[in-house]
Parts: sequence; structure tokens; C-alpha cells
Amino acid sequence: MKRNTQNSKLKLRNLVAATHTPFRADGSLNLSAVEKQAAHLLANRTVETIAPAPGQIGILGLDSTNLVIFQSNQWKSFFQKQLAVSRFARQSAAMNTEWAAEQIQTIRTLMERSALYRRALAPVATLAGFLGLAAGAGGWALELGQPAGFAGYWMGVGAVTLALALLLVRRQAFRAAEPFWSPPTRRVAQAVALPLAAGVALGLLFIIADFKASQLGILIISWLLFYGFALNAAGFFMRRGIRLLGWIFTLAGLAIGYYWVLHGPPNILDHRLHLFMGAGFGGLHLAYGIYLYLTESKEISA
Amino acid sequence: MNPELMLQLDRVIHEKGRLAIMSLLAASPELSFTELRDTLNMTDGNLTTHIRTLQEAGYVSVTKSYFNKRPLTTCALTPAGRKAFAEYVSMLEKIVQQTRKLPVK
Repeated sequence: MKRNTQNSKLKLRNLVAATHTPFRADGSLNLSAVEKQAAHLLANRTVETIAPAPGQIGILGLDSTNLVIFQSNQWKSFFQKQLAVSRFARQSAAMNTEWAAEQIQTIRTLMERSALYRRALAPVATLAGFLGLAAGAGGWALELGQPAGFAGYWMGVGAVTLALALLLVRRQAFRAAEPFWSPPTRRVAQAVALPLAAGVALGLLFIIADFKASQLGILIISWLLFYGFALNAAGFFMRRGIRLLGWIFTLAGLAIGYYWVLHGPPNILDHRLHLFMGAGFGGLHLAYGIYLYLTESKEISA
Repeated sequence: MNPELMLQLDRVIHEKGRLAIMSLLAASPELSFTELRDTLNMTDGNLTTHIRTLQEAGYVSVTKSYFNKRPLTTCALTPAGRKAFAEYVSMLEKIVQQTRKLPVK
């Protein structure tokens, strides 16, 4: 709206709504009044263009293809044009909405992708698998049967595996000319820190305290659970089924726990327990690594 | 829908490539040039041009350093860039919400 300061008359520009919808006393539409009113407004140049208000479009049924409510062909043509403009505006608005919704979705996808840890996991998982299997065979061959020896041996295996895995990741980052300690790496490290620290603390307890061999189940089950929790937490910042692997470890821990409690300790509470650990930790990692080798390159390139 | 909203969208961010860069940086404290390039499948030249535009607008800061004796370029959103990005997303949400409120004719 713009106020004309010279003649002090209110002058409206662009498309404005009609002031009212005229009806007769019996409730029917008074079309002649519409034309009279429009003619008056135009004659007095109060407005430059007249169109039905949005509410009137619905009330008068202008959405039908035949505009029958206006008797004058001139007005019919005029309002049909306005209706086309109105439809165009609604279509345009719908397109803008669709576009804006797509933009928001794209932004969300990109932000999620940015937060993801992108290093190839296949070599890391395969390395952990081979080391686990080798450690299982080694522990069995060395006949390490004491709870303290068992805990210390497998904590050492875990530390070596972690160190080599970090070296592999660092090498990948170096080759890609990217920082090793990137924000996604930090997020993954933060996610796994608590459950892994709990596992280490429990392992240390088995080293310093005098536990019986039959109590090793507590350690193994706890390690499986903690490791599963760590993978599940890391999986929120990684792709490629890490969370599924976390669930498998956790469920394996629970299954062993149930078996141990309901059926008593298994009769492998000597150096054969190392074979079980090697098959459990190493075997699952190796299977996961092979799965990644078969699928990872395809996904990264996609 | 109020067409004014479309006009209020930040022209610097509005471009597809720059919006993608801003989106990635909004979710991460910093990203290296190669991470941005690989994630967005952009050429070095294209990415450099977009980053320069964002840098000139004061939305992105670029840090050059060395990692293992190799040059490392990292990008991060400035506070102004983070604010502009938040306003841009907010404007998109308004466009969606306003049109949804329109009566069905």
C-alpha cells in the first residue's frame, strides 16, 4: 500500500482483496453489486487491479473450470486470468516448498556424512581377526591357564591389536593427506572409551586379585559385553555394520553368560579357553573383515 | 507463500556447491581440503573457487599447516558462517512451514 500525499487519498497498488462479498437479503450472491463496486473503485482509482479475495475463490466456486458466477464476459475473462495467476502462485509455492524440503534433506544428509568416520575398516577388521586367531592358538600352545595369566595375555593381545590398528588408520590418513586425529576419529574414540576402559579395569582386577579359573567366565562375558557396547557406540559415527557387530558380541556374551549360569562352567577352563577366545574375538573380526573386503570398495566409490 | 522469504535466502550460501561445503563444515569443527573434495566429488579448482567465495564472505576460515612434512589445508566455519548457515536453514524451514499452512483450494 502507498499513501498518495498529494491528494491525501489512499491508493492501493498490486493485487488487493475485494472489500466484501455482496449478498442479497435472501442470501444469494448479488453479482451486480460486485461489478458496481469494482467499477466504483476503479473509477475513483482507489485500486488499480481487482481480484477476488482468496476466501471468495472458495466461496464462489472459482476452482471449477467454467466460471459461471459472473455474467459479464469481460469480468469472466478478467477473473479467469486472475484465477490462472492464483493457480500459478499456488503451484509455484508448492514447487518452492518441495525444493526447500529437498534442500533441508540434502543438508541433513551432508551433515551426517560429515560426522561419519570414513577410513576403510576392512584391513583393520582383518588384522584384528588374524591376530585374535593367532593369539588363541598361541595361548593354547603356551598352556596359559591361570586367570591372571589369561587376563594379562589377552589384554596384551588387545593392546597390540589396537596399536597396529591405529597405525593402519594413520597410514590411510597419511596417504589421503588428511589429519589422523580428525573430528570423526575423536568422536569414535570418545564413544568407545568408556566401555573399553571398563574392560581394561576388570582385566587388571583379574591380574592383581586371586581369582579361580571357574570365575574366568565373569571376565570373558564382561569383555564380550563391553566390547559389544563399544562397537555399538562407535557405530553411531561409522558405517558398514559396526553396530551389528556390536550386537553380535553383546548377544554372544549374554548367551555364554546364560549357559555358564544355567549349566555351570564349561570343561575347558584350562589353556583350551584360549582357543575359545581366539575363535570368538578373532573369528568374528575376520568374518567381518572379509565381508567388508567384499563390499567396502563398492560403497566408498558410490 | 510469502515470496519475500525466497529473496531473503543468503545468495552466498544458496549456490549448490557452497551449500554442500557449509553443510559439511557445520557438522564438523574442521575438515581438510581433501576430505571436502572427496566427500563432495568436486575438482580442486571448483572447491578452491567456492571456498574462496565463502572466505571472502567471512563464512569460512582456511588454515594451512603441515602434516608429516606435507601441506595440509583445513577449513572451518567462522562464527559468522555458522550464524548465516543457521539462518539459511531456518529460512528454508519457514518456506516449508508457510506453504503447508496455505489452505487447500
